[in-house]
Amino acid sequence: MGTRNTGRINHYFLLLIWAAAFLFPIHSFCLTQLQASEQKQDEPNNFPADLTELSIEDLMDIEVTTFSRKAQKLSNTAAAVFVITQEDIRRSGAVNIPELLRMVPGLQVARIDANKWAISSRGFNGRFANKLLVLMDGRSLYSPIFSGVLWDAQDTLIEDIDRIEIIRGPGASTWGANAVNGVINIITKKAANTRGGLVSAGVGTEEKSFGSIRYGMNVSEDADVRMYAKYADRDEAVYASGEDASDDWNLSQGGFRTDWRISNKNALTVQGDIFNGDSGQEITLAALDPPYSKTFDDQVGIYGGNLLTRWMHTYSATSAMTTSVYYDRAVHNEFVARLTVETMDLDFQHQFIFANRHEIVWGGGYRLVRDRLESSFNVAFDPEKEHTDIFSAFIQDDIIISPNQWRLTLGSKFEHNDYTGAEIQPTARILWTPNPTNSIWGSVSRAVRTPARAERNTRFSNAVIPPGQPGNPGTLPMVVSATGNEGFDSEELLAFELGYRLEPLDKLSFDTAVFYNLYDNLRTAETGTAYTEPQPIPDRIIIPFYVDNKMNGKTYGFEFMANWRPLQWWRFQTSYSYLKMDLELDSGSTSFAGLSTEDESPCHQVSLRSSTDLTKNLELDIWARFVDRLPAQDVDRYVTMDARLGWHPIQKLEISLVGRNLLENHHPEFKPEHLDTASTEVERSAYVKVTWSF
Amino acid sequence: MKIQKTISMISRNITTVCLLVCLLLFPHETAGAQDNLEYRIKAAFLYNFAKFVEWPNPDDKGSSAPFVIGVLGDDPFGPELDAIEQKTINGRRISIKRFGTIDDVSVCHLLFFSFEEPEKMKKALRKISNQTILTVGEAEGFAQTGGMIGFVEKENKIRFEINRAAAASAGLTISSKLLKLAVIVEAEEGNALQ
Repeated sequence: MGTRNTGRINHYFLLLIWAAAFLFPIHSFCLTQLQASEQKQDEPNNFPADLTELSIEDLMDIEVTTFSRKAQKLSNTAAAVFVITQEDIRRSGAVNIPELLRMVPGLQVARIDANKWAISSRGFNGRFANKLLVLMDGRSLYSPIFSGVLWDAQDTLIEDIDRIEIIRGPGASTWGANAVNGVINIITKKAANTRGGLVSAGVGTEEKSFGSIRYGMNVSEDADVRMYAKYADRDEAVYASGEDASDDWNLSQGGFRTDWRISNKNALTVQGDIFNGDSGQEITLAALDPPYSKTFDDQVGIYGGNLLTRWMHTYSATSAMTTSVYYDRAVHNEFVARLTVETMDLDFQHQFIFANRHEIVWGGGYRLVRDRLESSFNVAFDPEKEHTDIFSAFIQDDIIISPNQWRLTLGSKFEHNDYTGAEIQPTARILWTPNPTNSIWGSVSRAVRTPARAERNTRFSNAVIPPGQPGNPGTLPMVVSATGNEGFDSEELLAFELGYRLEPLDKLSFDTAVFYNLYDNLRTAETGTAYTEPQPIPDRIIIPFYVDNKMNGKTYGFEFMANWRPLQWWRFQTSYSYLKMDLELDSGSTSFAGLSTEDESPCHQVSLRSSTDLTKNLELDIWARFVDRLPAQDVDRYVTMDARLGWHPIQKLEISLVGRNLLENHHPEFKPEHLDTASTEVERSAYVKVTWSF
Repeated sequence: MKIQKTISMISRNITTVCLLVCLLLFPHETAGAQDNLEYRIKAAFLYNFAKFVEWPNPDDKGSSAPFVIGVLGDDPFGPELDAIEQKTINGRRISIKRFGTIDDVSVCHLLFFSFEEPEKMKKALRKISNQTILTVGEAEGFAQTGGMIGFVEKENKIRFEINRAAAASAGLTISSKLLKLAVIVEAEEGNALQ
């Protein structure tokens, strides 16, 4: 009782600290104002406070060590970064976010069926790939229930995406837990950049029909608002036999964004979305009655919404603060479970330049997750309702050791969650730019993947061995159950990275990253002792497999990409990724699962994209991909190609004809994970799309 | 279990300590504020550009209408630019305006472009090519893209490039003093605005 009370007090104490943290910037802002006049008088440098009094020659002579703008340039970071621009999006022919990610080196993107994807970075792929963190405008899309991202419920108006930034390798020191192997940041455009109307509509063989409408306007001199709505109806895919499956998918979504520049120093963004859709699937479930398993078509209802507010305050051009708050609610309703998850998140960060050589960013956050998970025999949660909170803080110092040459970044995240307590995730990165043509970077980081709710208190019954069968000579059915474990700990990573960027010509650049990752405490399923369970009727024998942390291992590999623009009208982008995984069960582990993960991510991947402007208003894009085989899944290697022909009869109108996966009738890419949904194959498809902006 | 609790306690304390450290960092932030040297210098440059460029409208001269310096896109200057509002150019008051997009740009003599995307830049430059606006930017190759004066950084010092043809076609005369100090560039093929 005593400890519990102390916990409470600690809790309130922390909240108090947070409140202080929020008030402090305001307080210190006032100080800035008061001290401003004083400071002007004792300039550290020997030039006047009013620089306009200097001649141009004198101005040209002042040395500046911190170029704030330049520091923000992604190409200049000590990490493996890739940016998908709006132009990449438009010319890719992809109609949703997962398909766009196929162009990123080092990512594994595979479709399981028409509405499910397996997406990971640097290995460990699966439908519930849990080592990749995904955010949209700062809102986490990562499910705390299963770990991983349910991609069928993640969408936005694709034309309104400003860019997608992908960092391979740990990003945990700033982004926090679960940014183990990578972070994806989807960033939408500011409302001021989407003024006017946009209407697009398309029809196709797989993308049966889709359309979207957006209107953005200037409501006052300093405020902009946009609203959008979209709808997409996708056809079912096929089984290996070529027969139609039942995984058709539709999604309707709408949303808005307002950006208001309250004053020179304050800006406010409010944005939100709502969505509603249906994802079809054929599912096979174990049952206690003969014939002990059933297969049927299930419609998964997905709906939800979110609301986000972000306040940016500028103290000076080198010091700024951002505070954001969001609420997100998502419902995933399928036969085996109905999951309602609500997230409240508060995030604060402040960045400033200190002593001309330190770019410091620090911040903190609080997240509350509340869920209601309605169970079934196959997927049982206990308790069905839970709420957890996460407190976090981070600090990062970007130190300019010698201007334009050496830059050292040190940082760490400190996080506290209800499951595993404290998690410290530090990083050290160094960037050397001997000249503008070459840059070399290296890093050492630690990151953790925290347990998901499903790994702690779920019983997941995926097979029943009927009585009288081999392996079950008795009279009671035997239920094989993957069972959660409250002692399940975080998975850990220690990562080493090296990178080299070369820009020999203005129009030619190369980027290479090499990594060596050491993992420990990876998830396994350990055999437990069988027991009889009389309730609810009928009696059954449970053969439990307990979630545990008894695997370790290493992965290594490299990613290479080249960007070449030989002619003003021709751009060529290519990438190659190599990945090797080497996992090992700890001594004493009885796990049958886990090791196969090694063979569920492709060893080699190649992507070649060519974008040409044939004439002033005709574009041709070709995109070829090679993905290596997945031995554990019996999925063969494949080569495929997409092509897009875009025509602008007038400036504001675009008509595009897109063919996807043109080289084969259909091919498999990935098998379902955990839930036994029917696996389907990706078909050749074509669509035509008209986009009109006004 | 006991270990769990200990870790939990330690973690809470670490979080708290970390926060306190962060809070302690704050007072230094005021010191950091004066380090925005880059944009203080650039603001002073803008003022000088205005002094050494001649606008063709003779009736404007001596008029009481303010000389407008505009910032297009995200403002990197902050208060550093507002400080020059107290100055005058040829007896004219200076007024600082901030524009979200190129369509917002109304009366303006000198326009600073803060964004970097070349396509967006070209579009924006084209849109105001028929107005007498001195265009200044800091994106790589700004002057080659069709802008008039582009800031560049060389050996930790701020330099500028001038595209004479672009300025001339807008009817602006750049003084020889400015031209002498600048790196003269020409627009890249296909980037001439007319």
